[in-house]
Amino acid sequence: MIRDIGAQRILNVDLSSGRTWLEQVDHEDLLHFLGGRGINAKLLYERVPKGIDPLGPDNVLIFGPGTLTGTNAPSSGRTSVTCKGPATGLYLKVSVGGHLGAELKYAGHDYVAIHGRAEHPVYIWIDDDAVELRDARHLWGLGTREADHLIREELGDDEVEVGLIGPAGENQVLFSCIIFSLYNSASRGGVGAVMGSKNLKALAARGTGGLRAAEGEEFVELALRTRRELSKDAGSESLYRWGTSGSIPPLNELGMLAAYNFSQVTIDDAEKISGQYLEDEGYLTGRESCFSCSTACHRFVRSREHPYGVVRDSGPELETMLSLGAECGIVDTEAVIKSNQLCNDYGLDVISAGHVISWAMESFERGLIKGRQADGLDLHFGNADSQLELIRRIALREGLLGDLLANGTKQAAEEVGGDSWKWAIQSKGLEMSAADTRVAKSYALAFAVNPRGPDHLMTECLAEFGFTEEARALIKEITGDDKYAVATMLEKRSDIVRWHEDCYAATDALGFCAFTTTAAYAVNPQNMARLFSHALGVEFTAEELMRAGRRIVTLERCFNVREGARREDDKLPWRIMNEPVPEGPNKGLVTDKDTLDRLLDEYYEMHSWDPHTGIPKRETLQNLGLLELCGDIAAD
Amino acid sequence: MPQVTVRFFGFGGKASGFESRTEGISQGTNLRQLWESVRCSTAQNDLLARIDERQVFFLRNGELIRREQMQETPLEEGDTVTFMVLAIGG
Amino acid sequence: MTPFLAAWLPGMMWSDGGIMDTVNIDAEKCTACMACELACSFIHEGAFVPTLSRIRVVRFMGEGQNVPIVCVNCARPACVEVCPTGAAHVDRSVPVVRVNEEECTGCGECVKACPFGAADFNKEKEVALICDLCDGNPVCVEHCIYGGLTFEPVQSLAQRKRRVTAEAYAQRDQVS
Repeated sequence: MIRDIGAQRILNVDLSSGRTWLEQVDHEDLLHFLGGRGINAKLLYERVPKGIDPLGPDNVLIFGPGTLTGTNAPSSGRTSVTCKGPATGLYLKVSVGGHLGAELKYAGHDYVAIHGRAEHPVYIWIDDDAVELRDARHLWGLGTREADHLIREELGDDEVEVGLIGPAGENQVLFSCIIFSLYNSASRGGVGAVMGSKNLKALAARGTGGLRAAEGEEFVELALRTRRELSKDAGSESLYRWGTSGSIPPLNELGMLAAYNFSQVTIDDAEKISGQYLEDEGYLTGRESCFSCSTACHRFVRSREHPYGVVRDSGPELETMLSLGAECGIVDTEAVIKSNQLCNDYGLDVISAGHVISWAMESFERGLIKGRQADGLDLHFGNADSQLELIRRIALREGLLGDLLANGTKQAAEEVGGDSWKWAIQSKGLEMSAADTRVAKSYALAFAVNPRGPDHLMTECLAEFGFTEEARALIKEITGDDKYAVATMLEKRSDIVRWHEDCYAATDALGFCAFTTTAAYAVNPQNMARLFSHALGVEFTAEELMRAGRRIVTLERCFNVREGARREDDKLPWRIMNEPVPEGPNKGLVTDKDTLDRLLDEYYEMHSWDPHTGIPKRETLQNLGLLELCGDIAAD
Repeated sequence: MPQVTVRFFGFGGKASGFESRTEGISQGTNLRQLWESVRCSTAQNDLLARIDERQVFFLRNGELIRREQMQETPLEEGDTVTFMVLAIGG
Repeated sequence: MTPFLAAWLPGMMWSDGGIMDTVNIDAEKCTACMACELACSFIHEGAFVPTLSRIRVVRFMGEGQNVPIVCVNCARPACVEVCPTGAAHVDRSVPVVRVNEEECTGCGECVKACPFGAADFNKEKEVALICDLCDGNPVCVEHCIYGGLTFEPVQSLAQRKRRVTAEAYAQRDQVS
């Protein structure tokens, strides 16, 4: 069936009863929330009441490809996966690429909302109109690579797209992920554990239908033009050439390379874990892209026989090189390729996995993890063999240490005690990704207020560094003067964060990759609005688009407020707030409480949220058309 | 002749780390001129010669110099100039 | 230096001795972005429907390899030879294989006959799905940013291949 892009449908699945049913998405809602992450957020707010157990049957797991996913808008193949997060107990939106999102759209579904819990392991098989719950008991316990292959084999169709969990998700590790199309991951916050708690091994889809834009010629003409512009952007070319880990040498040079659990900001031989090295030393055997993307930032590598055996897998990416590499004191390509592959196969978020282990290493070196608790492992920084063994134990919750760390650094530090909480680089229960928020102040603010915890995947303000002309032009557009394109400045950070929040939400909602809108700029609010407009055949401006982005961000805040989150929760890890950068060009910088308070004051004021609690005011909700939905939590 | 240290980062080659060498410059050489001359003289390091300039960013003594300002940035004895590849992460 | 692995699928041309262009595939550059499938289906069907695309990407999951497969425009196309109604015929003006959808019975013989797997079945209209080179300006090529698809005279393609082979021999000589 070939559907109009604007005629959106939700496929609901109740795993407890086996029932499936379809719903239409209200056209007004589509214009207000744009789709993808936006509609996901609305569904979550409506269906997941306050206080439910994220790992219980009342949580709802929602897959929402973007509204333009499945079209040839450039790099528009991203999907948002939304639920209440097990690591934080708060709102969790995770973003993922690959090809499953497009396949779901071609099968006739713009959202898949999964309720309840199956009695025994199952997987959902969506074959165009037909939806079936199939037995997954023979797949339970298998790694993602083997299970993906078996599912496609037993369904008899090589073009089936699969999203699935590995043993880590089955064991409800609080940083387990969902692997999509083998090379992509919905990673953070324990989203894999939610799937595991529902006894859901996989979501498999085959869609032979299609999508129609209301103004097809205009749509395709703009899409192709934007695709070409994007491909000429210096950032895109660099991503193609070296991947995201091409940033390693510059980060090291600029003294912003997180190492040894964020206690250092440079590391010797950093180039050994760089994208350049992967290419030069012959590890790189291919480049993969997400659906409809002409950037191909993904790596595909083949390691050598010695010392870990030949590995052929996707990645490693920048965060991987940082978290499993530099943060653990392991500056060794072979080791990171291997640890990345293990995380892919077990289904673990590499950012948290690396930071949980680097926390354990620091705790070990400081004598806080010792004896029985170290479970026979030498956890000095740099010990790659221990790291690999620990990844396995965490995924399987094996042994004292494996089980302890499987719950993340926040809980592990509570149990280990002493000062170990100080070097748990986490906030709200989520490990921080490796951007130095002592240096980059928009990042610092964005990380502190991020509803899912401190990371860059909901609002990344790369432009504040002013590395390129386009970045400086954007800062000028936002603040009036490109002199503010200096990351260490405190002025205008709220303005910068606000623009990026709104744009990022719209980006996710339409299905675009954030690399096209907030790291390269060929896809921008104007283009997005025009493409949305041509797709649906309605007038739609960039202002309306950004306003819808604001609406989504506010709705997400409301969910957290309802769960009890307040201003006190908008903070950064202790080390970031108390231990200044130890060396290099940014030596001495820190984002202390006074600084954060100042940034938060400005941010809440700008959003018109109550400055003491961070709760959106009644009038603010009214202005955004959210009063009916979220009025119950408003600050008066 | 004044001497400056020139470092290339991430341009591939032997170890794709950085290469570092000393360049003699004339009095009043600016960053733009130095960049152009280094590019020409490193034909054997292929990427440096043919990379799109917009993919490079320039530091002088650790400070980011915008491309528009390179011509107005005169170099002095003992300066360290770094040419780095721009890449974005995630 | 990684070995240059390219899946060459040359078209063999005829047409009264003229030079013919062919879609050439460099599989090493294919990243499975599917922009070619989307462009093709849009031009022909007015919608984004990869299963109605004449060019299809085959993925080797877990190996990081992807290969687009498309009609190679044979000089003596098997699809035309087996067609019982003559719906599949050669349009000499381009030249290219065309399918007359009114005459096509959807028997599927062309799908079986094509040695490359480049003929498929249009489920919507129940007729054959065979590439028409977009009348000489293939959109798949236009939309492939990576340069994985090119459209060039088959003779230049042959010339390039000769040179690559010759270079290997020339170097061998220098070494000894």
